[in-house]
Amino acid sequence: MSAQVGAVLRMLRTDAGVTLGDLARAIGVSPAYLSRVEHGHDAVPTPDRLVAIARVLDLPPLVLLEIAQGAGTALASYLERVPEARSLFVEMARRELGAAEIGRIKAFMDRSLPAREARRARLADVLSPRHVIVRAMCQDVGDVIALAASRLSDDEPARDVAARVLEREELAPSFIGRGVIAPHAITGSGASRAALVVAGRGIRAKPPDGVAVRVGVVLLAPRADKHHLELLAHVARLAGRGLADALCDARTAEQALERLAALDVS
Amino acid sequence: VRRIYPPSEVARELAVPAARARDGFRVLTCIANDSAGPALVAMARALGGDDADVIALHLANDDTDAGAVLAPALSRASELGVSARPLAFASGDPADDIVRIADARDVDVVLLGTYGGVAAAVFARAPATIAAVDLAAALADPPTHVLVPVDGSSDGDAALAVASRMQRASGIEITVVDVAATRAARRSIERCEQSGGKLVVESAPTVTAARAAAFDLVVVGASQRALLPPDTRSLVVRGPREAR
Repeated sequence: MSAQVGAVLRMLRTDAGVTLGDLARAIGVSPAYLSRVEHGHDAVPTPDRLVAIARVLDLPPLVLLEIAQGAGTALASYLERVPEARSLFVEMARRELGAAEIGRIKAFMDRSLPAREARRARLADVLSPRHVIVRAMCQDVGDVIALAASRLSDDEPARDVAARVLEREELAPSFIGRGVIAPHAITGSGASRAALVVAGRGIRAKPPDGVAVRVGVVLLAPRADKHHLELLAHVARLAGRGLADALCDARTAEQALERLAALDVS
Repeated sequence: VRRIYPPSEVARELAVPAARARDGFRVLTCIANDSAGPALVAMARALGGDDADVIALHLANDDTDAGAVLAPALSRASELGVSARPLAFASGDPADDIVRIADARDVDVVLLGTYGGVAAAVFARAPATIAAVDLAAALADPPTHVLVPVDGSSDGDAALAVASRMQRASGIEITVVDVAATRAARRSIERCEQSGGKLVVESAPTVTAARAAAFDLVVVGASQRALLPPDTRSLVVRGPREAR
């Protein structure tokens, strides 16, 4: 668990363009400690520290909490801050509300209580069925990147897209845990785009958490900005929710997108 | 102090295998079914010699087990001492995906199993050199004696270039038939010899079935394909084009 969280923190920090020393200073820890965390040799940071890291990286704190400690902890931290919410949940449980009723509550919330912050970047926004490759048989991360590049390249030769992503991947591998890898690159132009590669069997790779990599999410972003970082964090969050297990036996691109949508609530 | 997990070890473990420098002669073999694979791998071996770097690609549009389709190709590759890696995925448009993968993997040659509809679409679009094996199943081993009809056309030159490539890589013997008896055809043959090709040169207006049967394979330019008698074991070649 700590190795996977560390790898995600390292990836997000690198992509945010923040050095180890700068982040350590900003949250008041030693660079040596932070380095141990990133390499999984020290425990996952406390919620307070995660919130501080999120502020420095300009990411929503809840997202980082969920990545690091699961949705339960993120929720617990909210319930602690807003005790009134607890009684609402108790009330919902007492009435045994199901998915349909909760959908109605959600619709009411969307109408009357829109989210304060701007809508966050989501994988589904930058993915189209053409960019979803299922039943893939890949040897390694290079194959995953080549497959993604083959579908993502429209203006640029696929080999250049692949080379760009591979170059970034060599700099810092993008293992985000639970069988998911998120190779990505900054393209300098165009819109954000993603490709999803679902490999039936695991690929040859050494993820820090030891879970065989079966899903590759390849992201191309015009700039290393907040949107890009949020997208990466979102993918890490989806990975934590079991993206690889949900997708691994999808037969068609449409089926994979449906399963992604089901994971991507809230 | 013993270092429990030195950074060099971390770097080694996290290294991306495919990111190594591009080496060898990369051949994309497009394998439609399990019986087509071994012949394509043998052909890739002839083209690349010991440096052949084969991608065994299967594009499924149904529930076929890609591993089972590619297994005979991979075992033939290991018999021939060729490095081969499997690659497969679901594709609704195999010709388009073959062209795209050839680009993404920066291949030297695309090898197709038959000269059919998919091949025609790939021939029309891929920038790499493309070759389609006709009657592939008949060719279990890499060819050693090939016949090349030459007429001075660019497709004929591409066929001769592919045969020369096989000669350099695996020392095959090449017999050229000058089917046009034009200055352009003679120049094509001379150019090949000047760049080191060892050719036996014949002259005949066409390739007869009997003559073709004396060779393992006829390597022919796509536009000259009509010259060949039916049922000739052939490798139909189209030269490299400018990228899309």
